[in-house]
Amino acid sequence: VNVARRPRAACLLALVPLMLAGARGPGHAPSGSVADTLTTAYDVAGIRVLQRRTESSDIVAVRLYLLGGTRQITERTAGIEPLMLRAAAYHGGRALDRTGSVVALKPEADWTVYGFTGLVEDLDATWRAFVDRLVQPELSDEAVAGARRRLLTQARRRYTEPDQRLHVIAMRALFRDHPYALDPEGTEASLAALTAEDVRAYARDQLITSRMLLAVVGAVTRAHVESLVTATLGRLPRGDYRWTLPPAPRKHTPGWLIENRDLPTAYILGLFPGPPPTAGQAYWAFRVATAVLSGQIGYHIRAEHSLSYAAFAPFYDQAIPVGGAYVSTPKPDEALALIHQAIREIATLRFSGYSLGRFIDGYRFDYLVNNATAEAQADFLARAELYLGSFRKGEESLQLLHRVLPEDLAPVVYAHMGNIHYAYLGDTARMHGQW
Amino acid sequence: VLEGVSDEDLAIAKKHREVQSALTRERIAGLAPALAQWWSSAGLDYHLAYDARIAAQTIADLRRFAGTYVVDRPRVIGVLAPLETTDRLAAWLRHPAARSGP
Repeated sequence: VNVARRPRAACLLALVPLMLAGARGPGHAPSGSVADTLTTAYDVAGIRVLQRRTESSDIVAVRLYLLGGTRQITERTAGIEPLMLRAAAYHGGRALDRTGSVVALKPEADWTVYGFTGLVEDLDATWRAFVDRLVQPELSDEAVAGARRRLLTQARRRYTEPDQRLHVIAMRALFRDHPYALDPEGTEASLAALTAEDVRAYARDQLITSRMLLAVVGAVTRAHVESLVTATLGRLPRGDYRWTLPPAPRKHTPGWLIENRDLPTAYILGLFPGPPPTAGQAYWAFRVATAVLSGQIGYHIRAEHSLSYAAFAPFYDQAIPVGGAYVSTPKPDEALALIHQAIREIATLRFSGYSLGRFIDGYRFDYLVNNATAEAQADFLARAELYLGSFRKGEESLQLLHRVLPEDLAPVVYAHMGNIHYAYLGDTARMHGQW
Repeated sequence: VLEGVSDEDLAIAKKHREVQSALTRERIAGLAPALAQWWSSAGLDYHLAYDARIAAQTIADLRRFAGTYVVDRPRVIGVLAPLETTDRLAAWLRHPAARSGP
C-alpha cells in the first residue's frame, strides 16, 4: 500500500471522540472561493497544456500525462510504458543530472505521469534533456536490457514485500475483468518477456501528441512554454487517441483473494469502488466517509484494542475511486471483526453536524497543505481536467466537500462499503476460519 | 580517497542540493519548524550562510573530510542477504587488495 495514499492516521484518530460529541447543526457553508486568474489552458501543436503561473517560488513543475494507463496494456504488455521511458533515458548521459531536477515517472491506473521538478532558471536545459527521451528515444537493445534490469528489481520487491503485494492482489480481487486489475508497472513475467522490438514498436505507435496532457506550474510565461513545446513535443505525430473515462467495474459477489505465507504478521486489505469524481456531492460524501472510516478503524484496532500499529482506510484517487480498510496484525480474525464494526458505525452512529464540520475543516486543511507545492498543483489541475472535463471544475468540486452532511455518510456504507473485496496475505490459520 | 570524483560530480551534487533546498522552502508548512529548529540550535546566521558554505566546498575539502572521518575509521555495515552473499561480501571487505569494484 502506497504510503502516500495513507491518511494521516494520528490526526484522524484524535478526531474520533469529537465525531460523537458536539451539537451544532448541519455542515457549514464553504468560504467564498477566489477566481483562479493564474491558470490557463491552451493547445500547442496538438498538445493540451494547463499552465499555472506562480511567482512566489524558484521551482517549476512540469508533468506530462501519457493517457490511457491500464487501458493501454494487456497482461502480456503490462509495464511496457515505464520500460520504454526508462530505456529512453538510458543513453541520455548526465544532461538532466546536471540540472539537479527531480524526475518523476509514475505509471498509474489511468495514465503514466512523466515529468520533472527543478529550478526555473534551469528550465530550458532540463526541458531539452527531458524531451529528448520522448522525441528522439534511443531504444537500443542495450538500453531496453538495462531498463528491464531496474524494473525487474522493483517488480520483485513489489511482489515480495507484503504491503505492496497485498495492494496488487486486492486490486485483482476488486477489478476482475477490468483494466484496473492489471499492474501498470508490470509483472516479473511481463517485464521479462517484453522484447526490445516490442518497446520500439510501442514508442512508434504511442508517443503521439493526442495522448498527451502537459501541466506546468511555476514562474514561466505562456510564450516560453509554447516555444518549448512547439520545437520539441509538437513535432511528434498527432495520432488519433481520444481520452475517455474508464468503464465502470462489473459488480460481482464480494469474496477473498488469499495468499498463504508463513509470517508472524497477517495483512488484510479490503477495497470497495466509489462513485466517480463527476458524481459531485456523492463523490465527496464517499471521500469523507472513507476518511471517517479510517479514524474509526484506527481508533478501534490500534487505540482501543492494541491489535496493530497500522490500521486505516486507504483512498485511491482514480477515475474510479477506491476506498478500503487495511490492517497488519498478528490477530487478523479479531481485527476483521473490528473493521466490520467500524463500517457498521458509519451507517448507524449519529454524527453531529458540528463535529463533522470540524472533521472536514481538518481534512480540508491537510488537503491544502499537501497541495501547496508546484508538483501537487500540476497534478490537481490535470486530474480536474481529465476527470471533470475542465481544470476550473477542480476548485468548484472541492467546495462540495463542505456540503457533506452527517446523513450523507450512511448511504455510502449501503451503496459502496458493503461491496468490499478482501485480499489476505499471511498465515491463513490465524484467521481461525473467520473469513 | 575520492579519486574517482570529478569537478563535474561535485557540481552536480551541489546542484542537487540547491534544488532540494528550494523544494524544502516550497513546503511552507515545514519551513516554519525548520527555521525554528535552526534558530534554536545553531542560530539563524548559521542557517542563512549554510547554502553558500556548501557551495564553496572543493574536492580537496571533501578529500580532507573523508581522510579525517571516513577512511580507515571504525564502521558498521548492515547487510540483510542470503548467507552465501554475506560470506562473499565479508571476504571482499576483509581483503582490500582484492577489491576491483566499489
